[in-house]
Amino acid sequence: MNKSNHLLCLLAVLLISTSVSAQKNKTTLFLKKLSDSTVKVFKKTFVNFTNNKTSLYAGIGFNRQSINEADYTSSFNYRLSEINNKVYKPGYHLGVRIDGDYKKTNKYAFMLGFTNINSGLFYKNAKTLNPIVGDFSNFKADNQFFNLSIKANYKKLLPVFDTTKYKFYFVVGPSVDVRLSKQSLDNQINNNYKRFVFGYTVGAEFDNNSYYTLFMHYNHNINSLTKSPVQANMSSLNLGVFVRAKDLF
Amino acid sequence: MKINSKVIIFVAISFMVTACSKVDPASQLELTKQMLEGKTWLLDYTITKTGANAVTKTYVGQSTYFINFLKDNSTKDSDGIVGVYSIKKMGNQLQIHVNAKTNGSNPVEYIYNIESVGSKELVVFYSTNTQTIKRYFSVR
Repeated sequence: MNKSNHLLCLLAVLLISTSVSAQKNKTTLFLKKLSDSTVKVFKKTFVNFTNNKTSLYAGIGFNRQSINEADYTSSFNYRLSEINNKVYKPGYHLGVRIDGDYKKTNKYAFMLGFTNINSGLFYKNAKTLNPIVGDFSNFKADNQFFNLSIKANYKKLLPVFDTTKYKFYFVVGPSVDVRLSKQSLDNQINNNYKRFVFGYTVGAEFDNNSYYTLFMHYNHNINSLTKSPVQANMSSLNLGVFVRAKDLF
Repeated sequence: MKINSKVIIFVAISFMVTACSKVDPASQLELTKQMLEGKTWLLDYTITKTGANAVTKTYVGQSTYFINFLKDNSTKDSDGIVGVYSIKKMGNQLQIHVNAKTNGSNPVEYIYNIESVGSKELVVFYSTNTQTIKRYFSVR
């Protein structure tokens, strides 16, 4: 009786292990197919993007947020004398960038990186709470953000200086910022800040004989950083440098 | 298969990007408490409305009524009323509930409706049968 029990147990274990192994093979096969098809799609999509060079970039950014509170109301008041300032405050940005040619004639740059924004706040309008308080706002704008930034820029070579050594580019293109940081407690109440912000970049780049490239980009958002009715726009001036990854590693 | 892989990648990226974007319903009460607590609120003005009439009184520059809201949820005012307070939300109205005792140990219970609260300004109101009284407090 005992022996037959042992045999039955052994058979059950064998059956289970066989089915688990078959399942594993199926999963591996599925993942391989998925990876192959992704690579194929990727290659097919980016067939016209050639001469790609990967670089690392870093720099400093100066940011200011302008706020139009409009009809926004809440139970909270914030003295404008304490929160309003018209200055640009510094943050930083770093990431990876790919420069290449589209259909061999048009130069482009694709940037993916993180941006730490510390912004000044410029309130365009104010409220009063008679008889005691003048110039306050019901909306307290956040001034700290940590974003994932994605930019695609078209680059136009400018015919200045000796272009075999030094290259000046005019760049322009769209951008998407994804807010990764949490909103302040003040804005969590109505979930005021959007997660995705679309914008554009305009700027200039100076390539010093391919040793390094200095860039100066002006960024501005197209849609508001905040949900209606508050309108908040971020202006950023980013200065930085990028160096070819292969020169660094 | 191509479509499936695209969909999977899109869903994965969307999930990574949009995760953790919940609204915290308790944050309004938390922020109100943060703004009130640990301060002495001095009465600057009262506006008493009786029908269409409004009477404004100012206490600025005078010895005036004040109330403390402490971090341990206790409260004490210049009339000697000592007790506890809590922040509540009834419908859309934020309120301060005070449960206290007078100098003579008589129980006192009252509710302030918050019109506006900041780190230095507080406007509350309460109603009696015929009047609505607004109180403007500030921190100096």
